[in-house]
Parts: sequence; C-alpha cells; structure tokens
Amino acid sequence: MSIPEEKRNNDSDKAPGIEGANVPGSIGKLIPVYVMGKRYEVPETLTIMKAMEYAGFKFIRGCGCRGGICGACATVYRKAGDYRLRVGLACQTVVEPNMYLTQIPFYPANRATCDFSELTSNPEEIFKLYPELFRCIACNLCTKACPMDVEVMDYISALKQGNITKAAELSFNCIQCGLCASRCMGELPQYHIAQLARRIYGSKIVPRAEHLSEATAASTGGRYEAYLEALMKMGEEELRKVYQEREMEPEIAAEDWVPNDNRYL
Amino acid sequence: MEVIKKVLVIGGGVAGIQAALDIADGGYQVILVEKTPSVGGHMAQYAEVFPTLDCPQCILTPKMVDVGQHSNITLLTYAELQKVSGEVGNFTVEILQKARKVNHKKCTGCGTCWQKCPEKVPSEYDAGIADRAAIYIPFAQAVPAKPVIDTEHCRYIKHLEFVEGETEGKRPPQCRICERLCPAEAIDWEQEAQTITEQVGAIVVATGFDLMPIKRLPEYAEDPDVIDGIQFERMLSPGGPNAGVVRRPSDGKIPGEVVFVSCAGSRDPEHGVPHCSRVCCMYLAKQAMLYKHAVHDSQAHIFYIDTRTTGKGYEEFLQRTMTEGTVYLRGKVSRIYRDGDKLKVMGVDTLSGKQVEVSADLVVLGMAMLPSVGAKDMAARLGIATDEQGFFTESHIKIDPLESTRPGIYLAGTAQGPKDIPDSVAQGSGAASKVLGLFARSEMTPEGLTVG
Amino acid sequence: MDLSYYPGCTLKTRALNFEDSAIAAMAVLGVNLIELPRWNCCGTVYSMTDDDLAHHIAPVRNLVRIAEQGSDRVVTLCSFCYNTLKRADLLMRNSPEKRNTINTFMDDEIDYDGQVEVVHLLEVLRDDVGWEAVARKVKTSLEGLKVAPYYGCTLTRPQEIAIDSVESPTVLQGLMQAVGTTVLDFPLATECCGSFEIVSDPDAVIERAYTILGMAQRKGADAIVVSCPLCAHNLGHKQAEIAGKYSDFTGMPIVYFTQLLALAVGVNPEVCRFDLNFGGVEALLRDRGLIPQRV
Repeated sequence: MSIPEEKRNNDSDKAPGIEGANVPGSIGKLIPVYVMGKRYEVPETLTIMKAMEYAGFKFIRGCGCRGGICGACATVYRKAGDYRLRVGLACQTVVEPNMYLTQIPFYPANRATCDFSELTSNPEEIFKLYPELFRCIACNLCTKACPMDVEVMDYISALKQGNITKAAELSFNCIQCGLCASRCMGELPQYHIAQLARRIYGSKIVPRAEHLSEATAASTGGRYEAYLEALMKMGEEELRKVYQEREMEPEIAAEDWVPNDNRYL
Repeated sequence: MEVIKKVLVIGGGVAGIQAALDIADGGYQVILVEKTPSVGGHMAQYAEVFPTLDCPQCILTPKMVDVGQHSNITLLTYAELQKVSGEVGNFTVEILQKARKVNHKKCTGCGTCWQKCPEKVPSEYDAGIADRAAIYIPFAQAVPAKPVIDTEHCRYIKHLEFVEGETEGKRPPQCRICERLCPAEAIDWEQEAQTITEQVGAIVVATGFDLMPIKRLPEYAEDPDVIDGIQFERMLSPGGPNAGVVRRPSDGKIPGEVVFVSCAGSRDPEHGVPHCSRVCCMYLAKQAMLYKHAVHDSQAHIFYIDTRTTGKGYEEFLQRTMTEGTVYLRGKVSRIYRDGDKLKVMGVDTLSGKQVEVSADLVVLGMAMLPSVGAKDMAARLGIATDEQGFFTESHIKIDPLESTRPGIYLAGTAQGPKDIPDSVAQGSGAASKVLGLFARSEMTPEGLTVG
Repeated sequence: MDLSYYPGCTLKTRALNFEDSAIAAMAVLGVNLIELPRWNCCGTVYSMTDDDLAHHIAPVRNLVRIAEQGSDRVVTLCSFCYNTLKRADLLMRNSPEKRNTINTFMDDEIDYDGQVEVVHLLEVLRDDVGWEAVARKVKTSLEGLKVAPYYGCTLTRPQEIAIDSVESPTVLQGLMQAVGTTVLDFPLATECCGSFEIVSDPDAVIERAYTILGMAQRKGADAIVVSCPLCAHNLGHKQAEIAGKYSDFTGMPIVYFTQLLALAVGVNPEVCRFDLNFGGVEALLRDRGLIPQRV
C-alpha cells in the first residue's frame, strides 16, 4: 500500500508514538518489518496484528479476541542481528524495526482422549495418558516461550511429583497458545497436560462449596416459587411500584447488613 | 683416588647369588648381605619352575652352598644395610648384623632346638600356610643351616620383657627349652646386634620382589581359600607343609576345581599397578599343570587377558597346559565370594561374550609383582631413584639397564623390574661384569671417571 | 542442624515410606531436613555421551536452585538422584568448556560453578551425626534382626562420586550396627539389581533379583536393607514371580535403611509407612514385636 508523500511524517527527530499518530492525516513514522520473509513498511505505533493488517494481510485464522487472552495470535519473531527467538501475542506486541515474524496459529501437539468421568485424582492416570511427561529434561525452553509468563517447567515438574493441585495453580494463566509445545525438546504437549490437570483439580480435588449445593437445592426445591407466582400475577403498575420500592444493599454497607424483609434469606 | 676392590651385594636371592659368585670368581672380595636368615630368596619357595619343571631347590642350592663357602665371599645373613656414604670406588657402608641369639660358631645345625621349641609362628617361607618355631631355620636347605631366634615371638624373651617392664597380668613362662637341649651350648641370650662398617668400591642391589597383598583387592574376598601364587607353590611343593598333597587351607579338603586369576592387581592403573608382572601367565599355567598332575580328575580354569609367553620354550609350555585340559577364559574376574562350601568366581568370557560364574574349591590369584617391602627406604639409604612402584630406576632403560642413577651402584634381578629366573640370573652376571669392569681400573677421578 | 533436602520425584510418589521415615528419624537425631521450595526432576540417568549436554541441564538447574536459596550443601535420599546430581556437579566443576556451554544456555539462571556440595544421607549419618550419637538415641531394640546390607550400584559407582569404598563399602553396615541389628556378611552388596532393565528386559531383572535375594536367604537374613527406590522395586516387586520360578525362594522383606533407623530411635511406626513396602515387612516386624499387632 503506498502512502502519499504529504501524509508521511518524516520528522525522525520527533519521538515515536502518539504524537506522530495524532497529527491529523498522518499515520506516524514507518518502520520496516518482515512478515514470513517479505519486507513491509508499517507505522511504528501498531501492534503486530494491526501492522500485518496494515500490510494487507487478512486474518481468517490466528486472530481471536484481540484482547490478549484467547491465545489464538501466538507469534514467534526475531529482531535483526540477534539470534534469540522471541514470542508474544500479535494483538499485544507493538512492532519494532526489522522484526522478523511469523504466526503459529496452530501447533500439532498430542492431545490424549479419555473418558473424563472415569478419571480420579490419582496422578498415575495422567502419567498413563501422557507418558511423554517423563521426557522432560528441564531445559526450561517452554517457560521462556510462554507469552503469559506461566512457569511451565515448574508445573510439569509438579505433575511428575504427583502434585496436581500445584500444577493447576501454576498453570492458571495459560491461554493454550501452544508456544510451549512448539519449543519442547521432549515433545511434551504441556498446555494439554496442564488443562487435564486443571480439569481434574476442579472436578475431583477441589472441595465442593456446601452452601452452594444447599442454596441450589433450596431454590430448585421451590423456595422462591410462591414469591415468583405472586410477581407473575401482578399488573404493570404494581410491578413498577414494587420494583421502585425494593430494598437494595447500600454501596457502602456494614458487613452484617441484612434487609428488613428477610423472608427469602 | 683408588678404587677399593671390594663389592657389597645386597640381597641373597638368585640374582644376588649369581652376581656374588661371578664377582668372587673374578677374584674380588664380596660381602653378600641378606635380611632373612638364609639366602635363596623367592626361588627357593617354588615347587617346580617353568618351562623345564626343574626343582628350584635342586638347581639353586649348589649356588647357595657356593656362596656360603666361597673364599672370596663373606656371607652376612640376618643382616641389613643401614647406611651408605661416599662415592663410586669408595663407599663406606654400615651393616646391621641382627642378633641371632645363637652362636653360629658353636652351633652344629643338629636341629634339636627347632624341633622342640613350643612356640608356633606363621612361617614366612611357607607364605603363612604353615607354621615354624620361634627358633628356626627357614627351610631345610637353608644356608647357613643354623638357626636364629625370632625375638618377637620367643617365649623367654617375652618373659624377660614382662619381668623388666613390671607388666600386670599373667607372667609368661620362662621356657628356655632350646638352651636346655642344645648339645653345643650355642644359645646366647646376651648376644647383641652389631654394626659392621666396611669400605667397598661398588654395590649391587638385588633386593628382589614381593607380591602385592591380597587384601588390596577387597572384591576378591578375604577368605582362607583365596591364595596367591607363592602360597600355592608351597602347597604343590613336595617339600611343602603337605608334602605336595594339595589341601585347601579352610578345611583340608583336596580341591576338585581350582580357578586361577591372572593380572590380579597388575595392568590396572585404577585399583592396582599399571605394569605387567611378566611371570604370572607362565607360572599360573605351570601351577595349573602341576595341580592337574597332583589331582588327576580335577578341573582348572584360568581367567586371562593375554598369554605372555615370551621366553624360550614358554609358548610350547602354555600349549601343553591347554592340551592337558586347563580351560582358558579370556576375561577379568569382578568378584569372588564364598557361598557355603564353594567360592563363586564371577567373571566374563569375552570370546563368547557371556558372563561366567565358576564354582571353585580354591582360587589362586596371580598377584602383581612389586619391589620387595622396604625397597623405597633402601633407595633412600642408597641415594638412588625408583619409579612410582619402587622398582629401582636404571641409568638408561634401553641401553644401560643395570646401572642405577648413582655411579657405582648396580642393579640386578626383580628389584629393577618384574622378570623371570633366567633374566634375573643373566642380570646378576651382567651386574657382576659391570663391577669387574670397574675394578679393572685402579684409579678414579673425582668425577667418577676411571683412569688407567 | 538444618540441611537442604532434595527429594526427587520417586520419593514423592512411590517411596513415601522412604521419605517420611527419613525426615522423622533425622529430626530425632537433631537434623532438620528442609525440602527445597523449588526443584525439578533430576533427570535420573546421567548422560554419558560426550556431546549430549542437554541431559545435564535438569540436575544442574537443581544445583542452581540450591545455590539461589543460599545453601552450599544438599542431602538426598534416593541413590539415583544422588548419583545424577553429584556427577552433574562434578562435570560443572571439572570441565570449563561444558560448564560455559551449560551456563550460557541457561541464561535465565545464575551461573553454576560448583558452589554446592551434594551428599547422601548415609554420609551425613556417618560423618555429621556419627554412629555413637545414633546408638545413643536408640530406644527400641532391634536386636536379633538379621539384615543384609544392599547398596546397589549408584552409591559407589563411578568411583569419583562413591560415598565409600567402591568394592567393599561399610557405611550401611555401620549404621545398621549402630541401631542394633545383626549385620550379615553379604558379598553381593554392590551387585546391580537390574536397574532400568525392569522396563525393557524384566526377565533379566528377575534373574538378578533371584541371585541377590537367594544369597540373602542362604545367609539367613530376615530382611534386605536398601537405599534406592528402584532397587526396592526390582528386589521386591517381582518376588511372587521369582517364587513361582524358583521353588527354593520363599520371600525376603525389603526395607529402607531410614525405616529401620526411625523404628530404632522411637518414631511412631505409622509414620514409617511399612504398609508400602514389598515382601512382607509388616509381618516380619509384627512377628518380632517391633510394630504393634493389627487390631
């Protein structure tokens, strides 16, 4: 896409960023990036995702929430002159000059199938489903690859030690982007194993909230039936009145605040 | 300076004996010093020697007797070199003649005392598999054939020490049986050790070897039926404790299966010594052959790495051993342990690639040959160099193997490195010729160069 | 005294009896085994190929963790963990090139140059506590219990990391004597149990196990004392099969040295988790009145 001369901001002594972008009609300073090996000039204020769209790419895959939480836009890139591989989410990472980048929309990591209802909290079952768990050599490349700063190697280690709870807690922020598996020397599908661990944790280990079950039972048992019946029978005027006169917990209420009408507590 | 035409030979084994005889025959005075009560060394302990299966006592004793009687040889047994000073052509040596407590001028060698002495001490000559008395000659053909009293084990000496030391407890008996029975009144309790000082022009070191102790290889079990080569020689020897009937130490049973282990401690830089002990391949083969001659329906196995049969007639001898039924297994032994009545020998047969476990009645270890105990101290006294194991270093290992690092001091026999009897004898003569060459000159410069 | 303690994965999954008894026993002896807050699998097998440094990363990372936490010494129970950590530590100390490569690769960690000393619990018991101190703390007499001490391979091989003499170690015997048992002469004490062959060639392990168990039986042992969960597994797990194949084998209890130590110094037998042992350990100890009868 070519940019008309008058719209280019060629003042290189101006700081990059918002200033240039706020100039009406200007799109800010352009920097080169390489997408799958081909060079493009894109505004320096854009994220990778926006910069690729600026360059003319249309996302039909590898684009999700655009908010940094779905894991669809996992990107691997290098900076010129540096051997280090870097990772990030395209929707969150701002472009830099001479970025070499490519997206990893999907990584073919092994995903074991099982009948979840038959699983227990015995870690041996995870070991059977994912025996490659023990191929981990603690190289830590997975942790380095994670865009969400999850301690991947540590949760794998915890699982090897049979500690499903710890693995579930450590892997909480995982967005299933697959970058960890893409770098793993032992070919583990870390994020799939962690997901299984979290599911087992939530389903078989975490204690049930008793009061929730009680309240649900009370509710389905018909505790509020009479009140709901009464409301259904009211006319519009009466309903409006009841609604406007309803009791609401004040914004700043004492801890032990209770409503006056305590019939349905 | 004048060259003193007298030589000190240290060590009365076959190399020292040969050197002494050759120099004496060459016309010069020899002092032969031997620390044990008799000359003969290890060769006198063997049953039969390879490859001829000669009786070693039979071929050695004529030379031993010669040494005892030669007009040019002063034989000092039960004596040790203490100090050396001076230089080639003019050494001053101090020799400690230990107290025998027996007057050899009076003693007739009748043997009554050692037959009647009540004390029993493990015999050095029998390598610990039989006992001797506290007053003893080491073996029947000893030269001199007159006894010494082992003061550490003599009951009367212990009695005296007890009384003088006013020790508590039961007082050991006075004994003195030897003194009472000696027809020549040769027992002399007052006899003291003496220091003899001599001037000599040259020294020949022929202090010989000792085998590495078995306990240095703990994986081979501390067991009475795991023995070394010299012990087995005594068992095989017709003059031995069992008159040549092979009985194993633990229960006296005649073993039906004997395992021989080569390279026990040798060729092993990690746990033993790096060098090859040169004679074990041959003597283990010989022992297997003699064993099978002694016990007809027996089986012998030899674990080996190589078969080093470099001398004349040696390879043929080995082939004969194999033909006569000894089984050779190429591999090392990792562990020997007792299981009930048997010794289990865990090894490997690398030619078939299989692990092997042999159930033996007796195990003979080809223990590494080391310089004799005390060699490094001797080297310090003489001011000569040794290698890491203690074998004396020669002036040049290829072209001058008999001269030590100090001019005027020559080497012969296993003290210089592992070797068999023919080579020891040859080196004895070789060292003698060096001495004779030295003595052909009458004067020396201070630098040790000979003139005239 | 406080000691940093590295458990290793097996102690947390299959060898709880080893760990629980150790911690309790050492507490009685005045040593607190403080588990490292952050550690990973040791890698178990030390890679011996010259150019395979990736397999040393796992143990070295653990050494880094220990150094980070301000410790200069770590004790481990599992013989395999001891072997792997110690050899990795030696590699880092002795080979500047490999040390450099590994440190550079682990650029997310501090450099490791051999700051940590790796020891096995038996060494701590021998050198820091001492047999006399152990003997003084004995409350329950184990007299009459005949044990065969079994080291397996990894504590004394290779010789650079051996905790005792390679061919004739005596440290386990010393401990067992200090707690009052009768220690038998056991010539196969350092013979391999078969190790990882249990995965690829279990028949070979059955033969090895039979040789070792049979010898212990012939020597009149009541139990074999071990220090390694893999040895415990190989010697214990297949006993039914061995008995089926060799009629002269009638079973042999396998017990960890820490369990006997704990029992002797008065730790509650429940803590020692004898229920997790192979080979009839509970029955043996009940028989001798060392643990209470089942109600």
